[in-house]
Amino acid sequence: MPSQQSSSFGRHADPAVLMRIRSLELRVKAVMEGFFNGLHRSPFHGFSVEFSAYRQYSDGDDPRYLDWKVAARSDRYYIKLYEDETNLRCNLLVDNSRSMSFGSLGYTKADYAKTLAACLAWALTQQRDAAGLIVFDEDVEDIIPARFRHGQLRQILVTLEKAEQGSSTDLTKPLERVAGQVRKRGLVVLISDLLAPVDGLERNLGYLAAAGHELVVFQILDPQELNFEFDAPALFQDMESGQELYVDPNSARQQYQERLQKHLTQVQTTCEKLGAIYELCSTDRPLEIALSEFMLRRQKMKAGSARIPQRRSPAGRSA
Amino acid sequence: MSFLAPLYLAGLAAIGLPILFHMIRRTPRGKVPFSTLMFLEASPPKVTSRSKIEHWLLLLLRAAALILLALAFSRPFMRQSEEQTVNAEAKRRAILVDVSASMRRDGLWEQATQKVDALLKDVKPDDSVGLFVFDQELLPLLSFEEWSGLQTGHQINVAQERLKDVTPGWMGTNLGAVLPEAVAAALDEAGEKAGSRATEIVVITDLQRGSRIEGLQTFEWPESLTVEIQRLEAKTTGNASVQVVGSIDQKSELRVRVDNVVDSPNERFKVEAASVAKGDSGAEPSPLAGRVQDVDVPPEQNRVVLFKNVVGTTKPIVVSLSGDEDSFDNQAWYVRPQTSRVPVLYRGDGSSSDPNELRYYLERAFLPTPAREIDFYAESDGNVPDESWMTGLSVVATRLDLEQLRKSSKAVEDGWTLIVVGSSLDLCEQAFEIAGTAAPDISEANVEGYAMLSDVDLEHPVFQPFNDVRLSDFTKLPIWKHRNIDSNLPENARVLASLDGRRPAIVELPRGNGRVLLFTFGWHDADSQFVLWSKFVPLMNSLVDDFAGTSIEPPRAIVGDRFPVRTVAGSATGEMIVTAPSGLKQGVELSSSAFSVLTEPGIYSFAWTDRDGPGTASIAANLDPLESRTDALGLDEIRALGVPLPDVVEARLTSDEKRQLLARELESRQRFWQWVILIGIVLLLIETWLAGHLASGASQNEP
Repeated sequence: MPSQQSSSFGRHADPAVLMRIRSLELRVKAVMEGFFNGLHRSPFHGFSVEFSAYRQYSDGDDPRYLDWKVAARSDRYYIKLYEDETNLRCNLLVDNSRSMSFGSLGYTKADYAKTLAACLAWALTQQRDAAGLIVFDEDVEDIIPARFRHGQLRQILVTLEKAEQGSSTDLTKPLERVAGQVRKRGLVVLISDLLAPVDGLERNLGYLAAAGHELVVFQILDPQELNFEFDAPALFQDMESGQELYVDPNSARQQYQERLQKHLTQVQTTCEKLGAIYELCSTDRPLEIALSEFMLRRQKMKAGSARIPQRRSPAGRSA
Repeated sequence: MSFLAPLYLAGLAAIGLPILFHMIRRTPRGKVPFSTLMFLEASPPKVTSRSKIEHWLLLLLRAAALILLALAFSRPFMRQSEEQTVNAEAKRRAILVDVSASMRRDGLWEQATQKVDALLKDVKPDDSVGLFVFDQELLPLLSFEEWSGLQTGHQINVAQERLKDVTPGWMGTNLGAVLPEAVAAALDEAGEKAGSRATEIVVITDLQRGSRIEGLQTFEWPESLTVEIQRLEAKTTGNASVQVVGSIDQKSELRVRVDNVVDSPNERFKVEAASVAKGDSGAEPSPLAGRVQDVDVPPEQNRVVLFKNVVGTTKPIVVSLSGDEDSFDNQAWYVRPQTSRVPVLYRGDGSSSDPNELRYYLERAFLPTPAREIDFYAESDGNVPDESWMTGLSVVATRLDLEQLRKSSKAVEDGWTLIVVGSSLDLCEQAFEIAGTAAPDISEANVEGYAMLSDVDLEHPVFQPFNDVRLSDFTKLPIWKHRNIDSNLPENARVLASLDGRRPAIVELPRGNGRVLLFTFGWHDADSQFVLWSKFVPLMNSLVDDFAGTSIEPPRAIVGDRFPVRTVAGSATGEMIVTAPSGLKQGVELSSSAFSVLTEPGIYSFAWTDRDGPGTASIAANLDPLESRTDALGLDEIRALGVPLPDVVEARLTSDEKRQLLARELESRQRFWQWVILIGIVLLLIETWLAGHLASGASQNEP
């Protein structure tokens, strides 16, 4: 099955093949190097500081930013202005509960989620943005504060790789933690299957949105979860609670899909209400597609909110 | 085919189960882990029933395994061989009846005779029976040989007749000695036939605790033999007994011990001391005024009661106990031992006040005991009595002249013990002269350092008191000089102790009624420290007591003992009349080894005539104290000693139960169930393999 799907996604890496790479770092490179090839200029040329315009010096400006060459040539003082690429602070919230260890394609949702988180972290680091990581299940398991520094990516990758399967999902705590700890505005990326009641989600995401964070929600689901294509009746065991239920899929499928759809809609509505980017990722979809779709949507969203004036400031000063 | 546990056949009903399971099968197989059940609802489980049996072979295998299991549990066996074992072999049976004193208790003897009668009635024509009675010893009433010599049918009558003449005696019980004897009697006479027959010893006894079963510990029981103990139940429990412990100063007080058994309901007893007319214990005892005492003895304990100012009476004393259930052991007798005077004669130099002289130590070595007092004579004092009319101990430490030699030889001949202190070669040779044998080669020994006594003959009466690990250390006596006896000793000589180099140190040379003891070393000063040795005093006293027959302990005569009459009569010769407590008179020829068997408790009187004129003595014979321990021994205790007892349960079984027992025995011999289980296991293995095979086939067929 995976091979059929991968062909439909053309040149993108087949997730099934990708997941066979044991090292998360290699996996990330396999995804991301191809990903940026078409999207941006080569990442090796540096893009963070870009000249935008000159402005006449006025009292109070920092003399460090005077363009001395211009001053020598024209005997006037100008200050160089740059496009301010704010250093983004991004927190990746990765769900590591037991339900994430479900997978019908030979790899689990957790594998997929970790790869996705790693890719994002890689991309962020490449852009000199600060990336942080919170791995959670019922409780926050691992936490790496968002920073940009040497070795941060490696630490994130290692933490993701070593994270062991936790127990059940509880979104409240990690979200509260982020809300409590991350004072500076930034990007919060939640990667989870969100297979839990959505009541708390709205409130907790609401806090973050109110704090000015930009929210992104990746909901990772297995195709089997989406379609419920079991055929034989069996005892279904809840991976988180261990509860057992005898289910005949043929009779239960329709109801399942209805309920799931309702849940997904609920999640999506909640996200939209809060201005969060919501992305539903089926684990059989190549990561690149998920990423690029997300990028596009983010750009769109940024463009939509462009009327809010961008803050300009001398280079080097963060917003 | 029969079954030991036919109820288990009900398990055959379980065959229905595989059929049922086969027909009805629940579909779900295994579990499917799923991330969440929040969108799912339980479907009603579907049970599909099929009216068709799909795997006949599998079903049959399962059913067969169950049938075999049920069969195995019901323990099948074949009954046809049963009869062969029933009347298998004729038995050889020794019936032992206890006639010890404890059997005098109320009703025991009647029970015993009834049991014997029952056993005799049970005898089959082919059986061989021996009837014995026992107390301390085994006594045949009707031996196996006699039995087989008698006419069939007449045998039982003879046995019953002979048993009628027997009643329990007064002796103690010694099962430990009697049972091995009975085994020997039962097997020995049977000879080669014994192996072919089942030999059985039936012991009819009250099995009281004082039966001395310890002797059975080391006995090796023959395999073909079983011992059945038929225990007699006494009507009464709770026996107390009384024993005379003795009196310390022999003058006034008398100590009496009252023992109570474990199962006794009584705790308060009355003890009474009375004097009996001498030589006639049959006469009514006259109570001593104020000699009744109450004593409280809890069960399994004992108390000592003191009677003051009673021993002074010369008459024998009887102590009676009342207040317990059994009366057979409620009397104890006591006779004040007669004090004899023993002369000790010293032939040697020295004064009695010079610690450098041997005499100083010798004179002080002898201590008076209740049984004898010592008269010490020294030749140097000139008061030596005429040795011919008495016997005693004589110590020679000097060279004797011819006259003295002759007198000494005569004295030894008459029964004196003469000790020669061989502090020189001369003296050693003199010992052999007195003993009337040729002297061997004797030389002065060359001692390096010092020599020690070794190879002491602890069995000899003189050294008997030292026959204990704690007392048998003879290495504390250093001997610096001694004489070597180089050539062979006379044949009748006995070496009582040797020196390091296996040279004789103490030699006993018998002559006539007496003997000469030669010490090949001097007793003090230059030769050794013998007189300062811690064993000197006990050794000297032991020597005196040995020939005078006066041990320090007053004689404790127990009924059943062989009482050596020399103890009372000394070296008197002639005939002695022994009067038993019952008044029965018996003549005993006096000699050194003469004895009188004490058969009943009470005062035994002895009368004899010797050179000094008539002599009399009396002793008190008391019951074996162990016989009073009437609480019953458990059969387990007997079994623990290795006695091959049959199952206790078996003895009390009804015929039905015996039949069941037989069936069990047959079954355990045939052990069909093991085979059935084995076949069952094989079937189950095949079933497992087949089921696995079918299941894998089925799963391959599934899409």
